[in-house]
Amino acid sequence: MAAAFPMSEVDSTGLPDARTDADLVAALNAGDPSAFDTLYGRHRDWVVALAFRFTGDRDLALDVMQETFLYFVKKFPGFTLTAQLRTFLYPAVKNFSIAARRKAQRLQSTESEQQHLANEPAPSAPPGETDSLTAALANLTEDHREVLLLRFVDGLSLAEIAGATDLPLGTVKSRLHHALATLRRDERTRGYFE
Amino acid sequence: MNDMQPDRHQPADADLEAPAKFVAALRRTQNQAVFVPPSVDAAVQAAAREHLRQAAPDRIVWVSFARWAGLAASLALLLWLASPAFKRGTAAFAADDVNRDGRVDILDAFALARELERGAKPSPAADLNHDGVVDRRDVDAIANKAVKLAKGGRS
Repeated sequence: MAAAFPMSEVDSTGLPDARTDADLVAALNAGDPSAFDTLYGRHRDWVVALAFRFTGDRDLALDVMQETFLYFVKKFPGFTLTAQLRTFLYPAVKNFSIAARRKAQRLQSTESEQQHLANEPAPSAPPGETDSLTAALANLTEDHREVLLLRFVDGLSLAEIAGATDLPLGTVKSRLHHALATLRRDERTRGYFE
Repeated sequence: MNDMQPDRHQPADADLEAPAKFVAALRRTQNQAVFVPPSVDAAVQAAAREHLRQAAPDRIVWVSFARWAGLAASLALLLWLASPAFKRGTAAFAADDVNRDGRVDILDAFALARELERGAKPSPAADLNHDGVVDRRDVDAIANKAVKLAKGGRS
């Protein structure tokens, strides 16, 4: 996944912060700002990579990452963590990314370019990647690709994907099944499954 | 196909797994570094701290208010528990425990006698002989009981 510049999540003593996300959320609710720093360090790279996946633009990804964490921290005090933190962050990143792409299109494109971009699917891989797997991924529907990447790149469980995307578990399974079936049939990716 | 519709034939979980070599290749397609400048980290963390700092006074005020409210409530409770009203209102006293001191003795007979002498209207519960009136006979009933209890113990 993206981000070759991992951020450490050490505490003030220089040791890794062993607290769980739930512990840190509780600490933030109690007014401990260092808990935010640890959560930021723990999830920043995933958030910025996800934003880059949605926007295909590094600057937009950074903007989305900042917006996401500010949106998150403004939930405090009073935030209740009901599932994995990433299932909360995911829809925020996705929505901020969509908004950022639209805004960028409005600001930077002529009308004809806007039409072209509106018909273009969200990039599943960075521009310039032209290997066969990237091409095959681009052939998937956006819904199927989203679930596939959440499962195998982000490592979310099926239940976590359902929570993050606000989809029924059965729909998540169905989308993943169809994505894999399409890739098994695709001659560019069939070899991975043999 | 509309995959938002309930799927009657859910795929088996085994069909939802992928070979390790596929997963590794898939991750490589997404393995693009996005450099986050330290200034961005600093800006995010500073903004977060500023928000938390601004949120803190409310919390402090609330905590302070809650603390004082709790203290006031505790004091009120203590005063109420210590008050004669609490003793009269909550304890289960015997009908013949006229002075509500938790025991039936000759002092209850005296207390009822004084009430009758003052012309006060005694509690109907003091009608110990159940003749419909509270009078000298009830004082005697208490006195008799007190004498008996004095030999055997408290009520």
